[in-house]
Amino acid sequence: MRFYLRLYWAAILSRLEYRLDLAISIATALLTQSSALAFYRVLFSNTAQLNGWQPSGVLLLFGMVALTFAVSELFFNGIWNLPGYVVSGRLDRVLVSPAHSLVYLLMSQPQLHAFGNLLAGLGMVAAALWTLSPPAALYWLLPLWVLSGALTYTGLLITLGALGFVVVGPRADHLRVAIQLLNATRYPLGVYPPWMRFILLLVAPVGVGTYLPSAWLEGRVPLWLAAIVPPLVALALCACAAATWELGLRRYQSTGS
Amino acid sequence: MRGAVNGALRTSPSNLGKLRGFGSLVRRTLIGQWAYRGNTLMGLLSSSVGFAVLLLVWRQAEAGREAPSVYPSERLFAYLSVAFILNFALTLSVEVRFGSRLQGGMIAFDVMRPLGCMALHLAQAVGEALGAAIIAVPLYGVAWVVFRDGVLPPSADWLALGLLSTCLAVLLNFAIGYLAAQSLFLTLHYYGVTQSRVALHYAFSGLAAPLALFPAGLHSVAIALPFRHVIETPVLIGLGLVPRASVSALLLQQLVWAVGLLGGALVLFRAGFKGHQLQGG
Repeated sequence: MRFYLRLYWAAILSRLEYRLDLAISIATALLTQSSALAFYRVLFSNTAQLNGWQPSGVLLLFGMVALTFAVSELFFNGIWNLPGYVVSGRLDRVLVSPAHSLVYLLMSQPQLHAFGNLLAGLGMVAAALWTLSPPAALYWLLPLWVLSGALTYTGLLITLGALGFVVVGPRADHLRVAIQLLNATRYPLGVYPPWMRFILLLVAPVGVGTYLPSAWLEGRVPLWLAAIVPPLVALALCACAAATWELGLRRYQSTGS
Repeated sequence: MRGAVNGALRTSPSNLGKLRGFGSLVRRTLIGQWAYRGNTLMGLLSSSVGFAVLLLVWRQAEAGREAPSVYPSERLFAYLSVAFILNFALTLSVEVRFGSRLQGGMIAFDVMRPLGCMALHLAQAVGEALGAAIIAVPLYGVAWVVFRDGVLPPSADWLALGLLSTCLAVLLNFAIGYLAAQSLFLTLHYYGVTQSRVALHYAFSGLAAPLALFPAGLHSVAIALPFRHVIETPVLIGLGLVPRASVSALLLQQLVWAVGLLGGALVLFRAGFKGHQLQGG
């Protein structure tokens, strides 16, 4: 564990060396979240509620999704580099290191725009909670839900990323599907038809981290269910992702260079 | 002999030669894109998921609407579909290409080409747009099956004006990307530069909603920026959703924005390149 923390800290420090890049990264993330908020503003200037949800409830979902992105990008971002590693043969270096290849890959490439998403997410959650006045338990459970959401999202990214061992190419466009699915959970799942809810809750369960908490807030599920299921789903998906990774590695052919 | 060769090298090609060179680069980019068709299709898949979410959210918003909208549902969904298809065809990687050539020192070869650096990158952008347009045609077919007349131009002259506006949109989108790419003389963080441009494009181009549905403040900002002329203007013109009298003014605005931004990019390029130190390879 100490080794991974050292590895991660070294990666963070090396990124922080480039001050201008840090500033640009944070500004970019803030701009991206502002762009999403601009659409939120357009949407609610045309309707008073969305599937029975008030604007502040949807803002809470926006904030939770931004925080989910932030945690995943800050701690487990390296999967985005996998296609490049496979094409160039740099994965060989990862495979011969004493660390676990997946953990090493995930933790060695933190993205600093995560700080921008973190700021924006905290701002949105704070603004939403100010209006909603939710039960006190939400304040305790919110970090757990965000962490569960981030692990679930990362698990989905790894599962999709393992396709990079089969369909070799320099770009990571297939991983963008995960981004779009997580972005879909910015809105109440009742907005979507049953097949879409099935995908978001069972096939690629990135919706669990926001759906159950919101269902609890609406009084439709008990607190214990909303507290336990998201972490369990996250752990299950991480296990599935690790297994997929191992399967993918068996297909890996080094470039030899 | 050597003198003749040197003379030939010194002679700059005729305009026809430059045009041929431009066409050749467009063709090569198109062929190169085909090599990465798997990536392009995955990109399309992920964009389609985003588009499906957008439609479903709007459908719900329309259901909850109390007052009648300036955009009835049928027209709104037809607009969003055409906007999505156009956006797919106009997704250009100008900053990434420019940034990688700057980082690798290849920019030196770009400025030595007879076409010049900007025309080279424009040719690649046109090739990229044409490659995506080939995939966009069947998508348009699907939109036609769903919306029928809703996604068709009202007449042949509206179609011609829509196509002209689309060509100007390609030029303008390239101009925006190329201008943004000039910041890469200061930073090699082309992810940040690209994402910032994409965020502004998403918010203000009319991709997620026609500007008529924007609240007053955001509408004023969108009107003052060039992004709406990349998506909303060609879609409105192509679908005949603007009065005929205002079409020429819209086309002129597209052209002025494109020329102005390209001029600005050229000035910035000269300044940036002057102070740039090439890596020796």
